[in-house]
Amino acid sequence: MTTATATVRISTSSYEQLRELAAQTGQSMQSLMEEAISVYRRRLSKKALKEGSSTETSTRQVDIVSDELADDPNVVAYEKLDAQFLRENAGKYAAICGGKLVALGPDRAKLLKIVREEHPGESCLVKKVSQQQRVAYFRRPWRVIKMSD
Amino acid sequence: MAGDQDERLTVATSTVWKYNAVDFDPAAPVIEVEVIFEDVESHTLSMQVDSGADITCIPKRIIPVSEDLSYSYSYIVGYDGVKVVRKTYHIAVRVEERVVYDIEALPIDGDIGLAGRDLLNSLRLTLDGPGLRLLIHGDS
Repeated sequence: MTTATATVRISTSSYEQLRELAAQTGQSMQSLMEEAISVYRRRLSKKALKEGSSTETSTRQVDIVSDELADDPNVVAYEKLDAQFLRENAGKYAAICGGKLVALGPDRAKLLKIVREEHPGESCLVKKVSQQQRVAYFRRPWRVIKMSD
Repeated sequence: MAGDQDERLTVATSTVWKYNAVDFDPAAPVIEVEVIFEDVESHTLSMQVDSGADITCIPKRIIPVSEDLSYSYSYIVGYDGVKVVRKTYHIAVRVEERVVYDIEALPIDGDIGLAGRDLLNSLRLTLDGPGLRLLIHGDS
C-alpha cells in the first residue's frame, strides 16, 4: 500500500476518542481512520443506490453493498431504471455497458451475442428485468459459506 | 476427494454417488459437474447438493479472467437475515448427460460449490441417507 501524508485538524475530543479507540482495538490511528473512511464511503454508496431506486418499488433497497458493486456504474444504472420501464419489460434481459442500457430482449444468448459484437472487451451487466427485488436465501450462515466480495 | 470416478457407479439408468465423508462431517451428498461459462470455458468440479440454497454457488477461483464475461447481481440473505448484494455469473451446468442452462451462480471461497435448487429442480435425485449415497436418475 502506498501512503500519503496530510495534516488534518480535528477537535481535541475527536483526537482523544481516536486515541482511545486505537488503544481499545489494538489498531493504529491510521488504520482506524482508513476504516472510518471505508465505512463512510460504503454508507454514501448505499444512500446513492437507495435514492436511485424507484419509489414504487421500495423493496429495491440495498442493506449491504459490496464495494465492488457500489462502484459499478452498470449496477447503479440498473438500479436507476424507473418503475414503468421495469413493469413494461419484466422478464426480458437488459444489457448495460459503461453505465448505459445498450440492449434489451427476451433471449439472453442473442443479447450476449449483440453485446459482444458491439461492445468487445467490455464487461457488461446482463440482468433479467424484474419489478421485484429477487432475493436468494441460504439456510446456513452466509459467512460460513464464505461468499467472495 | 469428492467426485472421483471411483466414487460413482452407474446402475441401470441411474448414477450413484457415494456421500463425501472426507470433506464433510456428517457425510454430505456431493456430485461432480461441469460448469460452463457462456461457451468461454468450462471446469469440472464438485458441488454439494444443498436444497436449502436458492441458487447455485461456484468456487471463485474458476471464474474466467475475461473482459468479455458478463455478470449480474443478486440480493442474498443468510439464515441470520442479513441481506447483502453480490455479483453473480450466468453459467450452464452439465450433470451427467444433462445440461441445465441459465443458472445464475454466486461465487464463494473454497473448492466445492453448492448445487442450489435452481439446478436441483431440473434433476431427479434420490438421497439414500442410510446408504450414504445419492442417485441421479437418468430420466431427469
